[in-house]
Amino acid sequence: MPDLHFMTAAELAAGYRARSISPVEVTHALLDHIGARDRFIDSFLTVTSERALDDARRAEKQFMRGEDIGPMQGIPYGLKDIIETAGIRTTGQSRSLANHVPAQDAMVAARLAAAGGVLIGKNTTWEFAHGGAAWDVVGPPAHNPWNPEHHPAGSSSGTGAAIAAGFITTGIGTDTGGSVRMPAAACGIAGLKPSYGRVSRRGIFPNSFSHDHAGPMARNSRDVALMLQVIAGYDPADPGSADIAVPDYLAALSGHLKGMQLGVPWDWLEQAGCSDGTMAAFKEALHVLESLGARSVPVTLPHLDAFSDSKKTIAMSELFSIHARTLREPPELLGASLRHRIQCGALIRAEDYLRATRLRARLCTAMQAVFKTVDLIICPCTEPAGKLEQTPPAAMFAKKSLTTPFNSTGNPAISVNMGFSTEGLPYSLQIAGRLFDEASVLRAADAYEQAAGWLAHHPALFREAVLDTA
Amino acid sequence: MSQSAPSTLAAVDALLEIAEFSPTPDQKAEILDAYPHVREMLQRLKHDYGFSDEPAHVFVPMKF
Repeated sequence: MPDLHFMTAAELAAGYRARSISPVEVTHALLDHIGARDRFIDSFLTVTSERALDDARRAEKQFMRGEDIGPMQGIPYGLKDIIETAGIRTTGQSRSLANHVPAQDAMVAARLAAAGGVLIGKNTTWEFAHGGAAWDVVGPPAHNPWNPEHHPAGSSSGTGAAIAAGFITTGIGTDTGGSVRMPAAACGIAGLKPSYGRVSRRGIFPNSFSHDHAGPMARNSRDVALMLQVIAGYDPADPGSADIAVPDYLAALSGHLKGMQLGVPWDWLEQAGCSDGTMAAFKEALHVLESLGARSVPVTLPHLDAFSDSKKTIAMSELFSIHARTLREPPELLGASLRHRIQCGALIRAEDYLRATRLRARLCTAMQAVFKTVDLIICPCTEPAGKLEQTPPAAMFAKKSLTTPFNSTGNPAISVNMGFSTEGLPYSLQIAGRLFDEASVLRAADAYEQAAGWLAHHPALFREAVLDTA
Repeated sequence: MSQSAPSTLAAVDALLEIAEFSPTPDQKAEILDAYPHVREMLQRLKHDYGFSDEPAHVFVPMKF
C-alpha cells in the first residue's frame, strides 16, 4: 500500500492512470489525516470535506470513463484564505471578513477546478497576508510541522505547513515580499513566485498591487511545474496580467544544468547576515549545482536596503489605501499586528511614494542588466524558522530580506529544500530567473532536488503517525 | 512608548490630519513609536532623480 499522504502529484497522477489508486481513496486518507492531526499545526481555517469528496468522485468517474483532462485531475490542493472561492467562506484571516462568502471563484481557483483538482480546504494565513503571526484574528496562526513550537513563516503559512505535513499534495499561496517562498523555505518544500503577470490575481485580496503574485507550492519543484502549467496564462480582467505564451514547463526539466551560468550575489549574503549554518549549506548546494554542469560567477546587485525601502514605502501606502476605511471606522475588526502596519501608511506622502517608484525603476534596470550576464541568480532564501511568537512591530523595519528584491523587479524565483539544521529545521535555496523564464528556474530547482536527495525527508510527527495507522 | 519631541508630534499630527485618520490614543502611541523608523526609511529614498527618471508604475491605457 503506497503512503498516499506523501505521494507527489506526479506519482498520484501515474497511479490514477494505472488504476492502482483512486482520487476518492486519496481524498479520504487526507481528510482523515487532517481530522486527526491538524490540531498540532492549525494549517486550515476551513476544511471543505464535501466539496473535496465531490471533486474526487467526479475525477474518479472521469478516469473510469477514460477521460483524461490533464495533470491536476484528481490532485488534492489547498488555497490560501485570501483567494476567493464561490460559496466557500474566504476570510483573509480577518475578523473584518469573518462571514464573507464570495459569489465567484478567483481565476486561479477557477482554473484548478476546471483542471479537475480536488479542493481540500482554505489554509491559514496572516491577516490579509500581511499582519504576521497573530492571536486576535479569525483563527490561530499555523505552526511548523517540523517542530510545532516554531513558526512556518508566512504569509502562506498554512499552505506550506499543510503540504509538509502530508495534508495536501499541492497548494496556492501568494507572494508580495516572499510569502510563497518563505513558508516553502520554513517547511522544507518548494514554492514558486512566478514572474509578475504570469498568474492572474483576479479574485485575490490585494496587499500591494504591483508586488502581489500568486504561485504554486508543493513538495517538489516538478509538482510546482505541473501546477504552474494549469494556473499560468493571460487574464484580461487582471490589469497586471501579461499576454505572453506559456511554455511546457515539465518538458524543461532535463535533469542537468550544462551550459547554465549562475550568478551569486555574495554581498547580499553578508548584508542579510546569513548564519554559518546557512552559509555552509549554501556552499554545499552550489557545489551540487556545479556538479550538474552549471558554472557560478559572483554578481553585484544594489544593496538589499534599497529594495526593502522602495518596496516597503510602496506597500505601506497601498495597504493604507486598501484598508483605510476599516481602520477609520471599527479598527477593532483588525488585529493589532496588521493595524500597526497599515496605520504607518498614513505617514507616507505622495512625493515619498513616487520617490520609491522611481528608485524601483532603477533597481529593475540594475537587476535585468545582471540577467543579461547570467541565466539564474542563486542565494539562500531565508534562515531556518524561529520560535512562533508575536513579532515586535519595529522588526518590520529591521529585516533584510533576500526574497523582496524579486517582488520589486517581478522576476520569477523559487525556494527549495537545502538540507536541515542541527535542530532539524529546513535550510532553503532560492533560485531566480529572467522575466518569464520560469522554465529555467524550474529546471535548475528540479535538477538540484534530484541530486541533493532531501525530498525523501518528511516531518516525523506526521510521517510516523500515518505509518503507524497504515 | 518613547517620549516624542514637540516637532515630531506636530509632524505626525499634520500627516494624520491630511490622511483623514484620527487614531485612538493607543494607536497614536504606536504611530509615534514607528515614526522614526519611517522617517529614516523615507530619507534613504532621496536620490537625484532627473526628468527622465519615470516611476516604475507607468500608465498603460490598453490595460483598462
